[in-house]
Amino acid sequence: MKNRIPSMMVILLVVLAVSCDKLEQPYASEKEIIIDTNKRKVLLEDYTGMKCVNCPAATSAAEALVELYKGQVILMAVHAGYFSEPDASGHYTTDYRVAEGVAWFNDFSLISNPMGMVSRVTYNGKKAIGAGSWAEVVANVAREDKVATIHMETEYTPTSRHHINTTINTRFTEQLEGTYHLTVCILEDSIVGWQKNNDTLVGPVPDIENYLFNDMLRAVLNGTYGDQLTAAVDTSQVYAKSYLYTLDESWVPEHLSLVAFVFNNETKEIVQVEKKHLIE
Amino acid sequence: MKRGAIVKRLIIALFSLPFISNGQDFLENSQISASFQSDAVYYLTDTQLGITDSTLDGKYFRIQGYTEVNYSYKNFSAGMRFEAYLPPLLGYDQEYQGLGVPYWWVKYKNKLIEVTAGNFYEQFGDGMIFRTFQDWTLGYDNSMRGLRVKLTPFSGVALTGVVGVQRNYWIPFKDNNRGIVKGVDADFYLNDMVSSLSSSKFKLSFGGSFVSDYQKGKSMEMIIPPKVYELQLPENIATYGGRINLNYSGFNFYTEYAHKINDPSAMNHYIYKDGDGWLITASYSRKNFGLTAKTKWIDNMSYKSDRSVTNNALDINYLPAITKEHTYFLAAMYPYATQPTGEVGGSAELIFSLPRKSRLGGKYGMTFAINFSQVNNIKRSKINDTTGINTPGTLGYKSSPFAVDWKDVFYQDVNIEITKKFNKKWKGIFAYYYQTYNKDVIEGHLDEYGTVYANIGVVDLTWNITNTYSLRGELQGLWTGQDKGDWLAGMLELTISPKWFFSVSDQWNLGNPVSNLRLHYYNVSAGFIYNTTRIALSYGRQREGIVCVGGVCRYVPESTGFTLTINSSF
Repeated sequence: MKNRIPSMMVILLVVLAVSCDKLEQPYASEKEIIIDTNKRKVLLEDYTGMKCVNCPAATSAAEALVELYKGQVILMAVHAGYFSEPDASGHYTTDYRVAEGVAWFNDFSLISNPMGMVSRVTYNGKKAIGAGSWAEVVANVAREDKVATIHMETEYTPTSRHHINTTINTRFTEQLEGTYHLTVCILEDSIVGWQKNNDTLVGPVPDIENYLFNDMLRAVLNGTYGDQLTAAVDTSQVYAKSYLYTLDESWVPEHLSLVAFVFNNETKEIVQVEKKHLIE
Repeated sequence: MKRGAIVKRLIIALFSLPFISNGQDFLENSQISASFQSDAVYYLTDTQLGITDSTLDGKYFRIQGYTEVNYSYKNFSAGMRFEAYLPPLLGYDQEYQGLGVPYWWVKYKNKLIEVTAGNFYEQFGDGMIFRTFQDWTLGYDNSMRGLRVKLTPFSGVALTGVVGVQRNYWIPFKDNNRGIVKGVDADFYLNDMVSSLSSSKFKLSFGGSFVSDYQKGKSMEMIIPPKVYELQLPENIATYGGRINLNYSGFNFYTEYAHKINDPSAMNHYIYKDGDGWLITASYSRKNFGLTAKTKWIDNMSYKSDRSVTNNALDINYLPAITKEHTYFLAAMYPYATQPTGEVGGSAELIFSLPRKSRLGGKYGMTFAINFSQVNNIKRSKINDTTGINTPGTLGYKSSPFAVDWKDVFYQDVNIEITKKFNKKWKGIFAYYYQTYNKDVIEGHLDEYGTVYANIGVVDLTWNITNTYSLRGELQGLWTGQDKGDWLAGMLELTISPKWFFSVSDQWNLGNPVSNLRLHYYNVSAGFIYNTTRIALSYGRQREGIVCVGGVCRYVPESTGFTLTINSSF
């Protein structure tokens, strides 16, 4: 045994020597995205909080992805978690939370802010994905083929401004296994409020007085895990769901959008998502 | 027969079943040991602290604990640890929620070779390129699961090889969801290798290590608003290092150097600069006198087996702390957390005793411990005029070993502790600390809190009333114009040897700038010790802060509640 040790060590050192990747510059190159309408749309959920100092930078990164993917990535900012809890007094007294958003935060073990989900896919064993990995996971999902299409029609008249009637038509283009549900949400842009911040590139630190909250989840029309569309996908069918909803009077209709997403109820993975402004 | 002995025999018999033909031999040569700990807290809402049903997430009762069982028979040994977090206590990483056996191992050992399969903890040198360990206080565990081989081919030569993946809470390893770590280490003890030096007062040992982490993925996309970039990634990230230890009489000198190749990660803003770590320790001791001096240089040395992780998980290496850890409430309020992306520091500690029956030392002598430590940022400069420091996808910055950014002090601690026995019944410890604490850097904020400058005084008196009863009291004060202002703390502890102890304490934030936050953090506790079993029950408030062990820290939120701790071993 002792005589074999030197040769074993030599083999080991050779193995270790190749375990070393020294890279050469340039280390980074600008990424070009080719938008393909036959590919799946991606829902990026940004779990955030007004008292979360790292959140503005994460949201800025998410908005950059939306801009880059030009409609293929849809952003939804969900206020949930410790840093979204309002204070009794001071600047941070507004409660932006929505019960369904808090339930998602807990059910999917988001744990802290900023944290996100990308079409609720599992990445490294978890649905919760740190902001540093969003671009990577979005790129992976955005490369996948589209398996369903969603068409949204919303009736809204300024005279009855607080009522909307929306119909969501879903058609599967692939024969998928499992039970599929539909969730419909309302998002609002351009809400101005206080936000804690630690990134001088995004705004003043430690507080931004007039922070612009965009894509903020305001309501879920059909419960935490939506309505069942089908337990057996039929590609020849169009699955239609209609919802009547009364808008909160404080919301600005011109800033509202509807987001609908279809997901596998076992894995909770979102297979398609669509967004439409209430007033085009 | 005692219950513990019966349980022990039953377990031994269980392990022995496969070898029933040699049952008698197994019963005589088998050894088994076990330990158990359980921490349970019933949290209460507390309007003064802002603790509500919502902040507790409706989970008022939380419990976490473990049981570890180790078995050995001649050259063979095995063990396992069962853990449960249902759910984890507040302040512990909530990703631990769950239960199972995250740690198990089997080992064979003879004079030449030791082979461990399963989980193991291991350290190369002081750990700057590889250390896996577990700390229950921190809720930290980065154990390896894989294979470890240790060889002792000659006297004075120790070789170690490891390969495996690290624990990441309860997430199983699959689809390369974290790196595969492999490494080798060699230690040479000259005095054992050369027989003529075996009795020499001069001792020399040296060693070297190499570790590599394989993480799948040759590129990743990264947003640097408003653009997205593709970063090329190293799949194999290597570190290597060497160390030497010299000892002569009471003198000791130890130094260790570590180098890491390009390792872009979330910790270092995805820069490609190589990392360096250097630790130097010198000490001298003789009777009633000890002097230790340390310095270290850490430059971009975070090394994890998942490049996207930024919390206390999947650390492959450990960067030793050189600052002193304090135990008194207020002296421990501002501890130092190691900054793996860059820090440079030094420390010195002088301990000496005035002898008994001397003029100054008095009848029982007197001991002084004087300690100083300071840690600063390293000096960084731009790689060129147009690229900002730490720009992702670049080398990040330039630095030179031990170049200090003197303006950016992370931490400073000057303290003196005097221990004096007055007579057979009375003993006292008197301490003063001056601490400089860069709260933003150490706790991970940016320009929110600034630096805290704190003066702290402690008086600790023990009265041995009888051989059985002793009473210990502490009075502490912390004075600062920053953070939450001044604090006053007191504690009384009655010990009835060998079984009982009772204590009552309070930390009062009397100087809080906000008058309705001048709160008391009171606590009453009682404990009972029976052989190797300790049971403690307490009720009170927990102050917010960070708790650190060896420079590794976790955040502790404010809470109020009842705590029951039970630990035992046999």
